[in-house]
Amino acid sequence: MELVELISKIVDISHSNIDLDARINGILKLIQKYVEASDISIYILDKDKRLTLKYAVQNSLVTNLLSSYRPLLGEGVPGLVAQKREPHFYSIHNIPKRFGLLLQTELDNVLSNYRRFAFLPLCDESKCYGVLLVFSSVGSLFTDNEKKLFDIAARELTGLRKLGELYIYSSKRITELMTLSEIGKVLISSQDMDSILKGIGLIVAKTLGADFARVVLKEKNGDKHLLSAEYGGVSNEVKSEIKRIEKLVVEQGKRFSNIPVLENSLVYSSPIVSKGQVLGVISVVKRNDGTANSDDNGFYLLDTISNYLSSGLENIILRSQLKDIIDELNSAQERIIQQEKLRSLGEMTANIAHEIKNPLVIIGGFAKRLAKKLELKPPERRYLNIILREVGRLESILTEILTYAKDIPLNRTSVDIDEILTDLIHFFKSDPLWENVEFAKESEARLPRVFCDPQQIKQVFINILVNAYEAMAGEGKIKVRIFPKEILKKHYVGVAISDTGGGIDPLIIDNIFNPFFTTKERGTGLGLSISNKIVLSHRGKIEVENQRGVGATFIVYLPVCDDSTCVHQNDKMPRTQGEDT
Amino acid sequence: MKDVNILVVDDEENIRILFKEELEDEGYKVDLAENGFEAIEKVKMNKYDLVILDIKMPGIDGITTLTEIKTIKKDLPVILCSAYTEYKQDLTSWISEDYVVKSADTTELKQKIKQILGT
Repeated sequence: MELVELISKIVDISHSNIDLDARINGILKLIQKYVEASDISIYILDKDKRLTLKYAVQNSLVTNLLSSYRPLLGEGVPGLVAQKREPHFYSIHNIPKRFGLLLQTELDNVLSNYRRFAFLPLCDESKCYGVLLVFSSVGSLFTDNEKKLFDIAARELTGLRKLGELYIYSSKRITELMTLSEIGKVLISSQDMDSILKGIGLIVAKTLGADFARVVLKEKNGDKHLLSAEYGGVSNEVKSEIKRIEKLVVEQGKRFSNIPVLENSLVYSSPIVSKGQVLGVISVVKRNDGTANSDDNGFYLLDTISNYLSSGLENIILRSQLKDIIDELNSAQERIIQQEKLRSLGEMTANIAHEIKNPLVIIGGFAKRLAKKLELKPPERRYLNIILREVGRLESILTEILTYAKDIPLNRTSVDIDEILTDLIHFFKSDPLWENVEFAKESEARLPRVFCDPQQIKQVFINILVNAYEAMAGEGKIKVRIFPKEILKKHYVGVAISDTGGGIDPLIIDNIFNPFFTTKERGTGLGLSISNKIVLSHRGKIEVENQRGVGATFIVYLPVCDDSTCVHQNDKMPRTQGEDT
Repeated sequence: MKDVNILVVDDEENIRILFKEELEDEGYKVDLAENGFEAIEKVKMNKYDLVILDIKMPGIDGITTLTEIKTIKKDLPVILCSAYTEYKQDLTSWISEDYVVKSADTTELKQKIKQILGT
């Protein structure tokens, strides 16, 4: 083949669309043919300034030997060529012993197979990418044409390597940006903290091809873990090893990379630092696949991710704290509005009730006197009795209303709720009217005590139980479940009372706590309303779960007696006798 | 039975009449006052064994009247009588002898009177 034809072929290959490595190998093969070379290969200069044999047209003894050692920049003939960026040509007579790689003693045995050696730098103005090696076992010196060919081939190969590095760099950047954009999406989503951490763990593990990823948020100014989320699974031994490494990361505020642990795995753990404070740690575990020492094993991404996370997470922590506060404020506001509503309504009804009471007492009182003074015959006697009975009924309604309107002061103490329910159930069970009601009570062991007025709270449960009885028409099953519950970081004891009375009509369920709302023929509509008022004044709440066709469940949450509330409230209560005068 | 004099204080005329007739049926002598001022005057002038006092009245209310009466005659028993059920709870902080919720049924009132007077 003519030189010109060959060169144009090399250029064609170099500019074709096939895979980069295939293009390089193609060019090497063309050179091999033209110079009758026995061995042709390329050393690549890595980031650690060592040369690694990467491309070889065939597996020969010499390529095997050269692959087994990575010379430093400047070391031996290949190192020198890369450093000086000048081609070196040798014949068997002047080739330096062992290519100057003096520890490679075995090279002694193989170099005598060759006659000519060319070492060509693959460099441009700014960077050196490697060295092209051409060894031939025929001839004595390289011709000018061959040298020309080397020159052009080296330039094309340099271009291809440069393109390759650019490609690797771009794909790294693209992965990085894609990962960050995905993490960004998770960070600005309105999910809760837990799901956000889980999402990040998943993205990190997927991107790095890791078996396991873990994101831990640390409590501010403390060692305690606030939250952690994991993706994937590892054995407990590996996990405890990760935890040990995470502790070091937090203590020292620096990353730990490529730490080999059990099961041939590598741990990489990077701190999430914001404004000099370690917010948490992000760790991944990857199977050790031998790429640990090269720099494209993906771990580098973790630093970028943890940097990116630091500011985002701080915002999220603040946001989630803010959300808790807003939730609490909202629920407090709701309580206040409800209480205010009930209070003004109560005042109004109390006034009306009082005004009605006097005329009623007069009507009833004189009707009673009539009954006493007159000798009445049966029908008239019956009429009078009806008047008296209805007056009595009106009076008891008014009494209930007036009781409702009054803010009865709480006489709170530390109370065992389970005991109250046990007593009540016992009380109802001994009533013959309740003989067709079956009770089931379950309560969790070690229930905290509740800070409440036992008389008023008893009234609440009586109201709910009597409602349940009436909903079931005196026949069915009442289930009472007592359990601890945390709502917005506050501790409560919940009492869930379920009946089998068919549930509440969804149309009216929003009204059941309103005063004077009733479904009973002879109800005042104050039972649940009073219960709600009592529970609200205890800073608790009542919830209803309705299963249409089955039954209703009323759940009363009462705040747990913690030392501060109990002591604090007891200081204020109760009023002593002399204070009012 | 020796004469027992009871003063009924209420701003509502028909309540006064009702209580008077009910108590007279029981054999008590009953005098009436329609407000706090009149009641205080009558307590000053006459000798009563017991006062039945409404709380919500125009002019001076029952609680102020009660304090006045107790200043004039410390040992004169007073039964507060009102439509409000709630005051019952605060009874202990007042200086009246008892509290009865006003009702068409005067049985409880009569019982309390008997208890206090020991009749």
